[in-house]
Amino acid sequence: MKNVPVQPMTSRERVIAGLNRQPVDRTPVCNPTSVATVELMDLVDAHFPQANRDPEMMARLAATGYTELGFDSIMPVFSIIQESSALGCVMQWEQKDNWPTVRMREPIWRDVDDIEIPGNFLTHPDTACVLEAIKLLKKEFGDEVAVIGKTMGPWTLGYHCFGVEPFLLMSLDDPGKTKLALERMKEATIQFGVAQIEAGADALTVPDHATGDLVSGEYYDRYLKDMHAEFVDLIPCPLILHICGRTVDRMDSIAGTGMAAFHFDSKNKPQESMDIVKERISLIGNINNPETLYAKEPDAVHAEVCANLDAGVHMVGPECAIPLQTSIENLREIPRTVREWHAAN
Amino acid sequence: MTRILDLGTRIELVSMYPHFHDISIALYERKLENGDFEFQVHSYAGKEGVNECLDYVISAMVILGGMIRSDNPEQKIVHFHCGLQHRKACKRIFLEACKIALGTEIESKKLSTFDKKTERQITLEYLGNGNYQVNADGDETGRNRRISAIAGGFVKLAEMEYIDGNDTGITFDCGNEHASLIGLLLGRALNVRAAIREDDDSAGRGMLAAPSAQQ
Repeated sequence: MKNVPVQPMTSRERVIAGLNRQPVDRTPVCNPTSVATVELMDLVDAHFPQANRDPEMMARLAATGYTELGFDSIMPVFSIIQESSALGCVMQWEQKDNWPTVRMREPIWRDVDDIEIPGNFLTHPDTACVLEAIKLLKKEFGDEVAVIGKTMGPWTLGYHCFGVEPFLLMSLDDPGKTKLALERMKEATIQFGVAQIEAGADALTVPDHATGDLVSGEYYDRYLKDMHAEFVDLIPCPLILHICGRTVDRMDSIAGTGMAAFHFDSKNKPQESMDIVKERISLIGNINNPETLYAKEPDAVHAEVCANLDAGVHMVGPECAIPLQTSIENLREIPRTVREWHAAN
Repeated sequence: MTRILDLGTRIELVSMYPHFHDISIALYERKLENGDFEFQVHSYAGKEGVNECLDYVISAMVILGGMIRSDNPEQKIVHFHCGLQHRKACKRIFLEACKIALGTEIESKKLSTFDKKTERQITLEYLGNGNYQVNADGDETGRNRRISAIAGGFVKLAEMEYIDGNDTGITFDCGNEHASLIGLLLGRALNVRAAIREDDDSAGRGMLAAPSAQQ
């Protein structure tokens, strides 16, 4: 995205314009997943696992993405387990330096008829925490910065609630039942998404882990493409689809869903991805986490950011939730490079 | 206004220091104008007592690694007496210093230790110019192989080099004596696989895997 004659924007304006592929004063630096680190937790005294369960801590830690790192967005939903906890999954909350996870070997549902969205789904402490954190952030930052929420897609909920292997086997053995399961689970996605919009979220990330390692592009078309298009109508705000891994085999389909943006992995090259989506959807990413942000130094981050900017990627940021031990200097290199690149181009 | 400090390159992190409220402590490296390197121990934790905690870690690095603390006691900065980088060695000193419970009396390690695996006494002999020779007592059988493996441990742990043509002798590229550091590394060099496994385990924490990739 080259410089265009646009008046200086606030961070929120920049992100909203980026999501709509409108002109921006510079490329937005956006984190549709998490940029929380253990050092930032110390800085604001808001540590995992509590920062996933206490709205004030959640908001305080999330705000550092904007106030300390210089990103244009704030993402308070660090993990991928809030709604699964509310659905009754068995949780492993872990410690400060590790991610909370669902114990998928202890599934809560075995058959499609077991699926039930509890009446207290949105008032459960682990979903209510997110809604309250978004309200706190909107109160503190108003329209200054984009606050992005997150609602998990039904494929991920399937993994969490049925277990990965049983859910994948069901998708092989009984496509009809799988589609029915997804239909029933999508209610959780919609309810939680709409509630976050009402709480003030400017956009929502929809992670749906039809990942390149286990799920083919054909599977994406069969099970998820239409449902993701449906979300665009039913969840009224810009949606950012997140799928990890190599996804070029389904990017054309994703670009046709009507979602505002796709948060893409570094396993997909920026230029090949831009060539596929052809301005039908914004791309966000795709700075590598385990090899670059976690293990290398700022010069390597600089190079990856420039590669994305050169390819015209609409918004730059980490490819996924960053490792909790990531160095702050590497994260700050992302907005620094974006500013330098635009000054030079 | 950001509260983040520009401290140089973060080269190591203890994400949960077990001896003080699980705070995160990081080691930063800076190259000075004269070409020397210095290292800063830092934590963003604001709890009362963090300052004393960092002072203790630094004092452990001084004793265990033979490092020198900055003249300004307010600064949490150390360097090697040779002024060189020795990054991997410094990381190892920092990690070992963070393992010691606050307040424990610390002594530098000797250049000799008992090897439980082969029941031999292993000794490092200083040859001058930064060169050390690994020796072991006991039977000839298997001795050279064990000595060579231990020398290899030093090379892996601290980016040391073999003395030319001698795979049982090791040296730092600065050509200086680092007796305390060699003593510290000796215990780890006896079982370098365990040390590397520990590093790998630590590196794997905090990575969010997609549900399909979770154990």
